Amino acid sequence: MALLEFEGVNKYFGETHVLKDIDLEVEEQEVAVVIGPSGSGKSTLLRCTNRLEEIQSGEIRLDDVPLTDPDADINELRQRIGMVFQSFNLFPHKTALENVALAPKRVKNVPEEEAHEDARELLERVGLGAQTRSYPSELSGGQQQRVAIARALAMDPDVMLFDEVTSALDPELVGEVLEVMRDLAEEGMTMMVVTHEMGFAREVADTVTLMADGRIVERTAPEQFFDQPTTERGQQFLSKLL
Amino acid sequence: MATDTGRTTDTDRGVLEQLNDQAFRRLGVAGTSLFALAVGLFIGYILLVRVDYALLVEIIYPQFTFAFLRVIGIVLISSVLSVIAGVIVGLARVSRTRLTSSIAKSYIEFFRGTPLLFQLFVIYIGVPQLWSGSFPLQQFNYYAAVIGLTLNHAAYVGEALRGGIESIPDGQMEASRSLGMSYIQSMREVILPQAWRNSLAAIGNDQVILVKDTSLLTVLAIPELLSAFRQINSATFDAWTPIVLVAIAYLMITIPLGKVIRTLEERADPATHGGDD
Repeated sequence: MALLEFEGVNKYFGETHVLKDIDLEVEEQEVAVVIGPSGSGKSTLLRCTNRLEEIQSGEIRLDDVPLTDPDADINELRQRIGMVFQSFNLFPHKTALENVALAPKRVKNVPEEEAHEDARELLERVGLGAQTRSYPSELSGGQQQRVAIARALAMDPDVMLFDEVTSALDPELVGEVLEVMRDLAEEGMTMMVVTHEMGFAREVADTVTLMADGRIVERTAPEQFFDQPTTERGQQFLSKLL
Repeated sequence: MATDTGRTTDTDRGVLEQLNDQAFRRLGVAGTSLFALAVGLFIGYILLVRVDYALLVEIIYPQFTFAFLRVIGIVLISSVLSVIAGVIVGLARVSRTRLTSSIAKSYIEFFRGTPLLFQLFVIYIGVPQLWSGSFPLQQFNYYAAVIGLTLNHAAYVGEALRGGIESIPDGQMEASRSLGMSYIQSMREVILPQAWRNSLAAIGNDQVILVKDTSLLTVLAIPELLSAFRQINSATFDAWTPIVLVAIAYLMITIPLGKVIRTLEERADPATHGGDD
């Protein structure tokens, strides 16, 4: 049994069919990179995974628990799914430390001291031990995104979702964020990564999933995908990148 | 803007615009100075010639002081209640439950769309009529005043807060929810603190209007500042002595209130206070 399973998932925005019969399994400790042209539904797939969007049919299961079940305790399930966004979405009225410590304090009732201690450790882990008291507006994009990663990790999730987390960054800041993600992967975190960073995909991914027009068209090991994609769609996609 | 651009070169235009700006500024200084001079002369005339200081000392206590304290009391209670009720109205207004938000919307439409004076009459005259016997509340005019001001200004506060909440990017709620925080927790910890900061100016503006709206309470037979003015005026035939007092009394409330709001705005801005972990 895979940690995260998608079965026959369909999603519509009004008339538009954005996810078509998605079947996908992400194993524990797997780094699953999802790529594809814009509008192919890859971000939507991530957003459905923690129910920021609702699906119209099919099922998504985490550890065999159907999280798309209307009766599922979504707040409970979301604690097990960390999400990092393209636009960081840090809380601007809170310091880096408070951003990271907030959810453990409020959701898990971790005592203030302990939550702050844990938050400090997490911020050190993403290389921001010196910025604990900074407000988001005082941090660079790369630093903000690393705080956002620490914030998601603070809930000790089973799986982390990364939604084009480097797309809003200046090119010179992309590296520091990918570095943190690479470390996470090495530590054995299960990750679903939507990205345009092909170097990262090739190097860190265990599997590469290509989406186009709301469907999964190819899913292989990165070596194979980047050397010789089996589908025509994959070949087209790669040829545009090069 | 300029219609003669065809004949002027770039350098000509620079000089012209500079001249115009300078002339405009001088005109502004001259105009405002003249205005200030005229107002100053007028106030000087009123204070030196028209105000009867013996009468002023006589009426300032107890009549005027009591009216002033009464207004402050009513303002304090109504202000606190209207902000609390306004937060509820604002939260209901942004609810994703259709019924809740449309009820809040209707509430706002009614209380913003009809005059406060009318609403005060509905409460003060209309409501007691619904009782067959004698109305149970003594001094109902004071209750009516507080209820009327609260309900009316809750609509404005609610609408201001709705604007504040809607100005917060969706990503804030999404990030908060994705951490496992409930809607209520996300509202309280993430959305409202930011929305509050964004709506403070509008809410403060409304609270200043609430102060001035107490002048309408004269129709509920509450001896507030304007009633005091009318009484003194009809008893003494002096207009300017009580006018000066009324103006000072209102400004003594509204100017400090403005300061308090500005202080709150500064304190709500994370950039102006240090980290507090």
